[in-house]
Amino acid sequence: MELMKLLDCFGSLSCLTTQITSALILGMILFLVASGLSLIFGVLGVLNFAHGALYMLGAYFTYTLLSIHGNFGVIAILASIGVGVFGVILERVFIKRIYTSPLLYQLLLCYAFILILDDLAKLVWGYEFKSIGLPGAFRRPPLKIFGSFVPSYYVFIIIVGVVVALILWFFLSRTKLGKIIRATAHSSEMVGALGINVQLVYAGVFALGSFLAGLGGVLAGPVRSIYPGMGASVIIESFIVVVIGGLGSIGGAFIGAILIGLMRSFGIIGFPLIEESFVFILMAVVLILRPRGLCGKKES
Amino acid sequence: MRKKGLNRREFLKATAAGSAGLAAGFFWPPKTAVAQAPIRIGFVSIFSGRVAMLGETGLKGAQLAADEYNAKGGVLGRKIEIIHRDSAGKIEEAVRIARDFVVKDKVDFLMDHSSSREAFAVKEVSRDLKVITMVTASETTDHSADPKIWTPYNFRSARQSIHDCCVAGFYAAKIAKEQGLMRWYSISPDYAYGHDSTERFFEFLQKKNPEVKIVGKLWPKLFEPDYTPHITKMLADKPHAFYSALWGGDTVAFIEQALMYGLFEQSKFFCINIADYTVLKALKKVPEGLHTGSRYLKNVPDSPANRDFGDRYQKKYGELPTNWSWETYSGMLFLMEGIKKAKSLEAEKVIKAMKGLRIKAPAGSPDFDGHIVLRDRDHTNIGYAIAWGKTIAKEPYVTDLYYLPWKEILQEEEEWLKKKGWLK
Amino acid sequence: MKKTLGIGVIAVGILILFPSFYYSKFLINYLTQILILALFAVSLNLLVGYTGMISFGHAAYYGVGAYAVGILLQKYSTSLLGSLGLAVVLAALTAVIIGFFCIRLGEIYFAMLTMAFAQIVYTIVVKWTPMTGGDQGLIGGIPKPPISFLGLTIDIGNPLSFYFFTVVLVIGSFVVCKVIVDSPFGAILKTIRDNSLRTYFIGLPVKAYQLIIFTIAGAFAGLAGALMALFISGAYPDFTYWTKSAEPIFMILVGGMGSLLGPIVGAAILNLLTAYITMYTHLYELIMGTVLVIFILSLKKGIADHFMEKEIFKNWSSHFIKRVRGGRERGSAKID
Repeated sequence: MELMKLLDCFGSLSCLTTQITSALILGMILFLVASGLSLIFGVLGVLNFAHGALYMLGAYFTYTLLSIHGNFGVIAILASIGVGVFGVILERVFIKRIYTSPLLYQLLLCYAFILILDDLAKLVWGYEFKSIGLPGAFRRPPLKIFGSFVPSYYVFIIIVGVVVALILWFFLSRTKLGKIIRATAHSSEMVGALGINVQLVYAGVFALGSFLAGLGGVLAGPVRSIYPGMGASVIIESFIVVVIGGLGSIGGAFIGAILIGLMRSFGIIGFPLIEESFVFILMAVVLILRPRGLCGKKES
Repeated sequence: MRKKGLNRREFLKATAAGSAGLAAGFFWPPKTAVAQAPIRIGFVSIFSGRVAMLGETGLKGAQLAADEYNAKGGVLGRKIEIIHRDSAGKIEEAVRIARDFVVKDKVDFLMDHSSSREAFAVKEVSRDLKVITMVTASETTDHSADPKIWTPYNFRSARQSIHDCCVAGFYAAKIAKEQGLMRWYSISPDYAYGHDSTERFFEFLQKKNPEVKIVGKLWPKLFEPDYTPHITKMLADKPHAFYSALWGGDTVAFIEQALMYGLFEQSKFFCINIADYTVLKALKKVPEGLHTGSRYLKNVPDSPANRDFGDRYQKKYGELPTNWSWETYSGMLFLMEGIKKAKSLEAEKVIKAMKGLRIKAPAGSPDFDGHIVLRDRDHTNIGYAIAWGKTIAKEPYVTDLYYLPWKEILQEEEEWLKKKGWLK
Repeated sequence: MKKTLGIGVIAVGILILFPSFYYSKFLINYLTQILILALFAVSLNLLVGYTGMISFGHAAYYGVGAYAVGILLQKYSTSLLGSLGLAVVLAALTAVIIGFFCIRLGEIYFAMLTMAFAQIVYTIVVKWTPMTGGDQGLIGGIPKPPISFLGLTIDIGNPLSFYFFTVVLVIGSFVVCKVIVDSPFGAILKTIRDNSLRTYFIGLPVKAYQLIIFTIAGAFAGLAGALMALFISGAYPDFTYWTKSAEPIFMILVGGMGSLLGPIVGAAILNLLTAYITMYTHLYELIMGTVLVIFILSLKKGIADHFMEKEIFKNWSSHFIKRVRGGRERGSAKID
């Protein structure tokens, strides 16, 4: 344990900045994936285990589209929408059939999708790991913030994450469509009785959740290795974020994701040896103290 | 639930019939062997997921060797046949597949191309069923060096981490002296291979250059996607240099992330696994001036035999060989030449023939005159070419190649093994 | 109970006698493996199918059993039966400790917490290198000293004897499990599964029952793990990783959670499928995934359940979903 180093870091502004930004980077990507997961669970009652595979598709779509057209910003949006569309197809063809099945069967179906999508990715894109490389606009020396260096691309990710969180919050709490979605989470029968097409809401929510996961993959693509099965690297942590934050709570997912990010970045300074299991210990602690998660009760 | 093509009763009948058929076909005893039956090799590896490249490229290397022998009429007048199955990285699956190869498919030899984790478990199958197993991917020294787990049925054509670390440590010591690199860090995956490689590298580094200080060690988990906290820690602590045993996709991800922070400008990077075409081709632009060990390069060894091997492989598969390809290729060479020398497929005879077997191979280093040897005492590969150097952005990707004579490597290895109590 | 015992004896008899008529090393091997995995799945179904407790961390006890028997035999050279017994006890102890903390939660949170604890066990196993061999596991083989039992010496070192040994222990365990679920204790478990609040209102200590069955399930999982360790002559951290916990869940889902036969059927089918698919292709995931999708969409319940027309989980699961999502309850009870 290197607790002295940890305390030193708290005392230094540049170190604090470095570690907090590092936490936010991981946190934002996790948040994007986890928020989609939480939304889908909150409204549809489905624990979409295949969410990691959607993240993977976001990265692969970006890889393919970039070879056709160079503008990263445009590609990012297109790829995410692509994943959203794919998600809707998945939902309409397969997932809607198991809404009334036991939870475990839903999980099994989603797990089966991971298997299929991972192998399809291997067939379509090959088994070698791929790399996208930083978009041209970000190939510049890191920005200096409070005495610490932060790569501009990471600042971009953090901004996107925060903006998405704000848009989601606004959308769900202030707009009519958002209210419909929240109402459906409470009681789909009521909403249906009011004359609203519940199936459309379900499809829309699944599209939104998939879009978010895809966006996570798109943003992570340039800085991580792309390979079939890369969803596994985010899915468990996303689940933990969702559980810690409280199932169905977007705000909780945001807090949970940041917490995990902070724990990793400060954890490495103070406890370089034990970090992999920390997330699980964190989840255990949260569940024992607050059995419904931090913001859990019902949805956002 | 109403119609959806197949209704429930029909589905169940189909399932029942299908299962019965599957089971029958599965358990039916295989046809008895005929005189000119092929020599069958059971190849177990990982063909899916993150390390699918391990199995895919390894199989290609083995198959190339098999095809070359078959084109010349096979071995002892019999063709070579490789059957391959995917363990998906699960230890019990690897064990089951290896067992089934021997007990059900009645293979003559096993080629264990699993990662080091599964290799230990498959070793037990080899020991239990007394079948010769050529280990072609596990680089963990313990596999052949630890007398407590050794078995005469195991042979290894894969490289060994102690050899690699010896060359690495001595090379780094030289550079450290030249450039005043006194404060060192490490970042390696948190599992046995990562730990062993790092510890041994530092041992050899400090042996040759006692002024070197190790000021920090980082252990991200294997397949960690995000190295940001590790990179920022090194930026804060400012070591002169750092070592890494990260491999495959991890190396690529780490380098891309480190480049964003300009880490390599601050600290010199010594990475054992950059110089493999899988990594080199995956990087958008290979950064210059990184120190790396060779995994597979067409110019290590810089011999006609090796360059020709690279060309033949590329012609057949449309891509360059990987570290795994040359290891399986060499493994097949050892096995086939061993069978030829023993003039038989009987295990005891082949073991005797392979002990100390010295053959010409593309991987053979210059000071072994282009040969590799299956060492008598522990059945592991020595004499393969190992080099360190600096990266450049285009072919051949690594320059300023540094070789350490095998005499020295073997001496250091012996000393190390004696210290560990594994050699008397 | 007599009927169960009778069936058990007949099963043991068939399994032990048939190799005299048709001997295939491969079949023996395969059956041994299926029996062990079936035991693992059955132990989990005591929780999932009979008590309505979904545990995602069952591998923890399997792993503890495996490592315990391995360490005792490798390092301390204890007797085989003694090591096996101690391994089961240790697995049960682990289950009681973890269960104590997890029982306080409901449903999905219970599941996640069991998984969290299993990961903690995994971390301990991976980090405690001097004792467990760290992430390489217990390598070098696990010795199987001959057993002295009632004056006889039994050597389970060869595959056939080990197979007999496994048959006796596993079928014996199945008999015990069946007796448990058919007993009054078992009846209470089922009422807890169907409606734990009402069970509580009747005056029964629900949490105590849950903890007891959790421990029993852990003990049997530990036995399965110990047998597996002996079978492959090693114990590895994989045994405690969360992906291992998922395996018996799949077996239960495919085979059916309404009975003890279900998980056995599931274990046999999944393993047969896996072995078959890997023989012919590297695209195991694609094929297995497709098979699972077709299975889930057409059948929607386990195979054994189908034959036995059991719909027990329908009521239970819709309660489950409502409770987890919170929101309005209409007539159905709420927990916690």
